[in-house]
Amino acid sequence: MKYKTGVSVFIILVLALHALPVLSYQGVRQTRWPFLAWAMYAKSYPPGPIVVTIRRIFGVSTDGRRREVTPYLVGLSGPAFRNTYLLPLENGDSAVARRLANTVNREGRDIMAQLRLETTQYRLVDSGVVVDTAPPVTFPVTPAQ
Amino acid sequence: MRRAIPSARELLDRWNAYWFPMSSSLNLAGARIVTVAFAMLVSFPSLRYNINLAVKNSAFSDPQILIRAVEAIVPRHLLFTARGLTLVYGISMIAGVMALVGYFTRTALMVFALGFAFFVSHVYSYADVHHREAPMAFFLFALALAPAGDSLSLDALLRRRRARRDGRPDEPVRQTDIAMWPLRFIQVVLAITYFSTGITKVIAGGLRWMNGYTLQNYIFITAVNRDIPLGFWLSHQHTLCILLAIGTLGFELFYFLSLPFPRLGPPFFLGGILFHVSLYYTAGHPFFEHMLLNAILLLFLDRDWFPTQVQRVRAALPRRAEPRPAGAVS
Repeated sequence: MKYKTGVSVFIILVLALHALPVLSYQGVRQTRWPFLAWAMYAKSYPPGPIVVTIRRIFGVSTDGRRREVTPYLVGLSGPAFRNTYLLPLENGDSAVARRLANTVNREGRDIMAQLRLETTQYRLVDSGVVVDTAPPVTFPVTPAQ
Repeated sequence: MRRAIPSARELLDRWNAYWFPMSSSLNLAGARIVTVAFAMLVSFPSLRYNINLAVKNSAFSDPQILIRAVEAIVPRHLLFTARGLTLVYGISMIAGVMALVGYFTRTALMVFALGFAFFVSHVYSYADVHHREAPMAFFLFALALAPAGDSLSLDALLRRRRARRDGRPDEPVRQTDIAMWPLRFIQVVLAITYFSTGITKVIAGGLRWMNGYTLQNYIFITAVNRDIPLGFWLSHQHTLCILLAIGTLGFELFYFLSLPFPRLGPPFFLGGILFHVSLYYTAGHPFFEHMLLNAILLLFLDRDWFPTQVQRVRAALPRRAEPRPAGAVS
């Protein structure tokens, strides 16, 4: 009987705690795993153009070599990398470019002297997909001393 | 005349009847083997990825509850290093193997579940959280609290050997009332998560979520990001996207009906597997844990089906010769 009471408390507690992320919503930066708000893909889209933007960042080393700066290289996941670096760089934030270059240069393999943000847009049309490539945005960076 | 409001005693009886029905211990044992094997081979976060995150970040940006608790006891610079994480990973894997074969099953399952929760929480402590492992973690903890090693385990083998040695009756399979609750528990957890996902779509997107364009958008985004040919094709199919959006909402909002109407369970579990498989092939969403848990429910929630299959296999196997009494001659 003691065991069943303990299990019942466990069940009620775990199920009740699922209300916590709903009652105290944290947005996308949730810190109560495994008790999460399950608001996934909830936004709806009206009829209209369907466009996806892919952003990639490349580092150009002092001797001219080019290397993609990936989320793994800086120790982040894809979405966190996009929010921390790609979106601010797209808005021209040079301070973020310096911070990213310093992070990459700490690795010490190639010293990056320049970061290039390359943006490609994919547009869904009836006949297929139209690809538009924007001119790259470059951020000169001074290697940290 | 029958009372409209049940008494506390009746409610308690109903609660016990739902969570603690008599069943064979085989169902839970089968679920343990499949779940632990799957967790070890598919779900367990990669050690390399964990080390990469730990060594390239000097602090957690959004530490999860478990990581905050661990960090309060062991400082980051001691545990969250290549050596520290490798040690914890090694312990977790040893516990996983023990849980799989059923040796010191409860302790092994608890250590494995804690290891799983630790590594998932660590990955999600750097500003990016996903949902897929959460129900799996709940199920691993539930297995650790239940008699999941009572059958199909080394523990059961050793118990039977001891019983034979002491001349006590041999029990290859036990009937118990505490072996079904983890399966029912995970069914309720899945019902909550699916309903929550569905209802947020209705609240945030309204009926417009089923206009076809919404699903076309989501599928096209992932098709481009992950280069999925089937996703490119599906994102062009407006009518099909309307039907799939209706199907998605219907599945998520009504999965909970499998709780009061057990006969609806198998179609919903099978639907769940197909739903996540199609999501994987069209949009690359790797909800493998949800596929597994629906498959577990499909195979083991019915109290009779799996024990019958085991009985059939046992009957088909050649019987071992009975030990001959001492002094007998052939």
